[in-house]
Amino acid sequence: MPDSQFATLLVDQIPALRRYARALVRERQGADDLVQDCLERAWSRAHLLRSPETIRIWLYTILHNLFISGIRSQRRAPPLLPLQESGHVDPGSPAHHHALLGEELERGLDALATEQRAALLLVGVEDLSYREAAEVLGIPEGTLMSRLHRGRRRLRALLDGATGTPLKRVK
Amino acid sequence: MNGELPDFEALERFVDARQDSRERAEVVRRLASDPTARAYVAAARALNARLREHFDPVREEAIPASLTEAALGHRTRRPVPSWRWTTMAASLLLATALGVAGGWWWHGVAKAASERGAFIRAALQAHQIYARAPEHAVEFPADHAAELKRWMARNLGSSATTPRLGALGFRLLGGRFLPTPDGTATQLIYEDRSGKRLALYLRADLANRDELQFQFGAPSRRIDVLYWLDGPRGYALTGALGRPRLRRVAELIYAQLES
Repeated sequence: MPDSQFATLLVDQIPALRRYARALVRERQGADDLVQDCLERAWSRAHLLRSPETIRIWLYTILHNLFISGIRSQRRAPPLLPLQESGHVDPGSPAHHHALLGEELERGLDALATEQRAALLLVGVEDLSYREAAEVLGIPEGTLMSRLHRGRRRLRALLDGATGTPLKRVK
Repeated sequence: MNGELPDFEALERFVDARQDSRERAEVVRRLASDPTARAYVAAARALNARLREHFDPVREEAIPASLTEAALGHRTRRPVPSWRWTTMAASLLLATALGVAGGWWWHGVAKAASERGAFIRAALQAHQIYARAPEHAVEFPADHAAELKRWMARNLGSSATTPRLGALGFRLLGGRFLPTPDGTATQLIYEDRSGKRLALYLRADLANRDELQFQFGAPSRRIDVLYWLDGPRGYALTGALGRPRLRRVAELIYAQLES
């Protein structure tokens, strides 16, 4: 594959990779650093890409492995900042309620085990097939299904438990 | 909380709409009589929707320059070529120095990088589609110079000219006008005696305001591209000529634009 074709494929994948990285890492700069590492790693391993059709799965796999090895090397993850970085919203406004719901969702995701969070995001947000998501995570499809199910049940329980909190905080 | 519902795989496939109609019908029957499974499916679907709503906007954000560069395989910013463009190099250095001092600059660079990438891709595509066509490469042949010039003036400003490249053995075949997301691009096509073609892709409506640099982009199917941006004006020279020859052509064009 010529370099220019490879470059075009990579450029096309940036938005989706950023979305996945942001959901994993949460903090914007850290997430973009992860995507940049992923793209640089992709260039250094370009010869391993089997065909253009598999590039999406291939890139998610690289990104995920970088993320996991980053966690291992850090032992303790850096403090996570909320996704919302914009200025003030009026307390009680729909925008405020929306922001609180977003924070609640992110806190819930943070509380999941990493492998459950990844399964939820790859299937639910990135729209990968079960087989593809299992390939990215390097696990059998049955294991993926189990993580997906447990992760969804746990996140649901966390969010149900949090219901009402936003209203209290609005006052 | 961490347990598994009976036959949860079928429920997950139902949540994600990834099952055949026979299994779907079975799950629907089960849901009618299994309130726990019913509540779970509804909650899991709502969760998917909420996650997407929350994270999808990331895809629409402006892409940082560092990521576009990394995707193009540029590990670090390439140095500005020293040849001939000393004033350009100086102004770029100044812009960099000013920019490091202020975060506002970064946003501008990020926007500029995605615009630059789109500009280069469009120039290469236009070359692949039109400059390679043996016939009908141009819609305004060079012998309709007045009409070509009138259109160029409209799109690029009254001072627009067709550079003369005879000194390097290229004659103007003509030009065509191409749509861009924001307006119109002009493509001029030249040919040498051996039939080798090069194209100059021009825009005058870029959002770019302060970047001045001159460099090669990633080639596409053996077509090299050399481009430079000067405020809202963008110039991309494409051709399978080899980089040294392309560079000489660019020098000749630049000299005529400046004078």
